[in-house]
Amino acid sequence: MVEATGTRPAAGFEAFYRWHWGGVVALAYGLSGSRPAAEELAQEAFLAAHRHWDTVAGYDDPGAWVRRVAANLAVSSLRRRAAEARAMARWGGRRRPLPDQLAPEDDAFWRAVRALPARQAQVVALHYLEDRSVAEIAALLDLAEGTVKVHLHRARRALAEALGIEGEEDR
Amino acid sequence: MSIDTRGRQAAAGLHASVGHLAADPPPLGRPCSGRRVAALAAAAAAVVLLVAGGITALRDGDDGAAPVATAPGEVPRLLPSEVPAGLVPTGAVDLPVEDDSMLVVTMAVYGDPEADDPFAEGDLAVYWQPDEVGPPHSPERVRGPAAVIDEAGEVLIQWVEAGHVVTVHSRSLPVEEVRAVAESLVVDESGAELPDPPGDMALVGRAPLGIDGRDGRVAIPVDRPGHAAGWQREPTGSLAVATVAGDAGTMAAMSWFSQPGERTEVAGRPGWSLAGGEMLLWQHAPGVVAVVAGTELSAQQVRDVAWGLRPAPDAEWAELLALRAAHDAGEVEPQQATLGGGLPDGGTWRVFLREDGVLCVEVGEQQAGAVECLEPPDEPVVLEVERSDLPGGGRLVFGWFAVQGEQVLVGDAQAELASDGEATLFAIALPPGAPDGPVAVRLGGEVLAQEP
Repeated sequence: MVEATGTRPAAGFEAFYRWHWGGVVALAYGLSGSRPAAEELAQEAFLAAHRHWDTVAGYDDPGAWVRRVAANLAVSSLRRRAAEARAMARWGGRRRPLPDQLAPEDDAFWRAVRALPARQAQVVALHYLEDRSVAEIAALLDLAEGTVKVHLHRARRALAEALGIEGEEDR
Repeated sequence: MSIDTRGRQAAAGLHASVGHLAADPPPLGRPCSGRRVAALAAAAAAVVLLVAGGITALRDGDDGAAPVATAPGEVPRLLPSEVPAGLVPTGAVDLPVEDDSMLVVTMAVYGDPEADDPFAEGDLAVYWQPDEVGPPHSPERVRGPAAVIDEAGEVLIQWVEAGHVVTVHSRSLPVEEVRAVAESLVVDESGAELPDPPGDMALVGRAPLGIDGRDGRVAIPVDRPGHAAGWQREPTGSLAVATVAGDAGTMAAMSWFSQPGERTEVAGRPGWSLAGGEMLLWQHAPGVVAVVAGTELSAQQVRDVAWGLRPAPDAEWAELLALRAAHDAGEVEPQQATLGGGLPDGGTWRVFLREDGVLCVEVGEQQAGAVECLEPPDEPVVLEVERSDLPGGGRLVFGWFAVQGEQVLVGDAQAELASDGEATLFAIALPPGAPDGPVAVRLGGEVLAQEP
């Protein structure tokens, strides 16, 4: 909305889609815990971007917009369930192999992330998966930077406790 | 190892696991087995019909909710007394509908039928739908055909047989037991039957559920009487209210679909709170199941809707049916965030965000005023505030913000809010003599943006 005046030339949606697809799937996977659902959620986010492309293309960072939509979808358990159901309904026609399994220690980490409050999970997923700064995460999620710092601090502490990592209390 | 090191390792592992997907994005909006967008209201429900006659009246509990009268065998049409801010109606649909585009999955769920929560000690679902796309490419074999076996959190085995995509799925059983169930099924053209459920499990419920091909949030038996109405807030917010005839077994099938959940009461009636409180499903009356489901709504908002349901007047329902038809025909413009109200002189005011994000205002007699759309700011802003003197005195203070505020104060007065998913519109009509003041966008106790 801030940059939605249409003054920026609209980049091609197809190029945008191909460029950001993998990152958005990874984000949705980390937050949803379901690989098939992650693809469905990413599709839903990109479809939303496509519907609003005249506006989204004018943003400074359209990739951030689609990530925000995907992150919000992924932490909605109802939408996650629905995406899983939809994915299951399509598996009969799946022509590609399923993705590799996560290593147990990685799976444990993302399970712990998904056990966090939704905002904390979103912040920490963007921080680790995309190496985004506090300022970038704040802009992406429409939060104040101070709020992001608080979420990140609490998330780190909770993750350390859940995973049995010591020495994180004061970070 | 620090938490940051662990997090980065986990991130690398996750990226690696989906890396091949990034190299080959699927076509956007790939068709769901060739099905077109389904026609159901944007609802989020899964209920099944099992008509039971002889119901004469539905009484709420002692919670003060209004009683809802229902004729024998009738499934009532229900609407919220108050819709959460920012949601606009997408319409309604009466069931049954004849819609070949709807994906119908026949689902049988197993657990302990005597338990309050039949899935607490173990669960199993067997479901199937017509095959339209052929078997998966997989080295795994179950019952002979190639099968997909997924063990990520839940165990799911799926294959194609006798013209069906057949799935065996459990959130509690190990893969070996799920595979054994798959091997023991009797599958023919009519579907799948499980002659001997594992352990102490028994059939809890069975239902054909129609899944909305548009967003997958709807799972309703579309072949039987019922009613559903939907609202949405672009891009991803939604609310659905549905009533369908159904019994405890129906509710069990539906609740399995939307687990995790817990038993609860809704207005004194037995039901389920599912999907983290985003969905409430309850036995509204014998033979009638009701569902309220929301996305991007709090559990409290969903509860407020459920507790405040009212019978839908014929005229209001007819408008919603027409709106749904218009949506299906592509005659409805995308959602706009809109606020409006009346003026002391009998006129009206309306402010809205146009599809391109431009702020517009209309003041006139019974919506006959001219629409004025304002020039967008030259530079990106997070808060735009406009003021307009109203006929007969008073002032309209309105605008939008792009931060995540939950309250806008104009001086000491609280403005109304509406969101289009990208920005939040606010407006307040100050009566003559009322003090104007600075506009502050607040979240909790924090001021996120202020003007001037």
